[in-house]
Amino acid sequence: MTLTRTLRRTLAAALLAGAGLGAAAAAEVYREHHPRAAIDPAQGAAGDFSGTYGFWKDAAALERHRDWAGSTDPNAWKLNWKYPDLVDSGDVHAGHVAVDEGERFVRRAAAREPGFLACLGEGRNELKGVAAGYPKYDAKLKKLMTVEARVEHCAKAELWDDVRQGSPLNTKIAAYVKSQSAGLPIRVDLSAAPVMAAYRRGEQLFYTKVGQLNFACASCHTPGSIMGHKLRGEVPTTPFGDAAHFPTYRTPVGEVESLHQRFGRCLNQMRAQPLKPGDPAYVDLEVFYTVLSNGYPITVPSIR
Amino acid sequence: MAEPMKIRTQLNGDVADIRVAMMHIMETGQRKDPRTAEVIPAHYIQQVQATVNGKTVLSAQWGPAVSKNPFLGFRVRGVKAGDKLVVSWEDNKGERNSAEAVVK
Ligand code: HEC
Repeated sequence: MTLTRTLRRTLAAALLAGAGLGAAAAAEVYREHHPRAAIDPAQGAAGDFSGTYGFWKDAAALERHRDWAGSTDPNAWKLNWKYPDLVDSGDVHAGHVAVDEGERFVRRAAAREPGFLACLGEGRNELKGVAAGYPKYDAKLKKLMTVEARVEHCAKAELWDDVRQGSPLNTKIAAYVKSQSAGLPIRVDLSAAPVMAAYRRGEQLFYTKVGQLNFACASCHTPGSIMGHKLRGEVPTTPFGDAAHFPTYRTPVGEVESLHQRFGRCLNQMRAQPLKPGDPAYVDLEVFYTVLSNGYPITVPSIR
Repeated sequence: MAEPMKIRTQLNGDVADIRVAMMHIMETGQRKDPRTAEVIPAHYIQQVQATVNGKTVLSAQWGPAVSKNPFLGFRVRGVKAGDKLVVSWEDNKGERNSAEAVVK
């Protein structure tokens, strides 16, 4: 018990070190890496390496193979779990309720402190389209910001309120902010040097093996890995397009969860210690993941 | 206990496609708190009712096997735009909730 815990801590430290947070420590840790797949970040979602993009790139493509959805057809994974966005487009689910709750909080808070909305909207009292450019580098704060980080920052700065990343309220507000860009293509700005640097660090993390099972994210989410093959009743899919539907309502959990919380779940499966939502290593991974969704429309609220 | 409930309706001819997202913990009474080893008390929806213009169109008895935050979808014939739909539930603790929507 204690041994595993110590081991896990070491591994968490190792993951952090891999993020470039402790360069000195990184030199001491023995690390293995999954072979790299060729990814051209300029292509965004269309650069998908799994050969499945044609099956999930838009509604028409998804409609064509609707019969795979939820079936045991070995091709079902090629839909990249994008069909719930389609099937549920005229539907209602707990993801909508979460977005409503986020909206109610924002409206109430903005009535009290108009600065809150302006802070979320980066100067404009308007959230339409804002989330499509995230994650981004904030020159004033000198920090890479995700939507969740912006929510936490604005709540602290304008409401003197602690709405920490990973808390249900933070995730609901983030879901609301993202829903205000629903349908708009993601456009993470890679021409900003700090964003490109984060992309490279995130990419490095994606291929770095961690945890008791010595898995990298790439061990399950790249061609030639377990991707597309059965893994205890699940089939890992391509990482392309994933960032577009987060935060998402998770039916097995009964809550909306952010991308960082999903990272934590995969790390748990890898028997590595998950990090706290908002951790710089997660931000780097989110930049990497979101660049792999560039050009793909945001689909929040969503259900998975 | 006014957790939100959300209703969407879609009218095709005289058939209304109704979808309801309810928010409820739906505790089965079978789970134990891993720290205290105490049973988490059952708390689930037992009765669900839907009315159109006051007339019952759906009445259901639910139990602990229904998932957390349940989704309910059903179709009603003989409905027109502007009809008033009310969906309500009552759980095993006697708590109630209801939501209204206008069919469109
Ligand atoms: C042991 C195999 C395995 C490893 C290793 C793994 N994952 Fe996963 N991952 C899965 C499975 C299975 C799913 C669920 C099916 C799917 O959507 O791919 C999943 C889902 C996801 C999703 C959600 C996809 C969606 O459509 O909602 C994200 C994001 C994700 N993984 C990221 C990661 C990251 C980041 C890492 C590395 C820290 C990682 N995964 C490592 C197996 C794995």
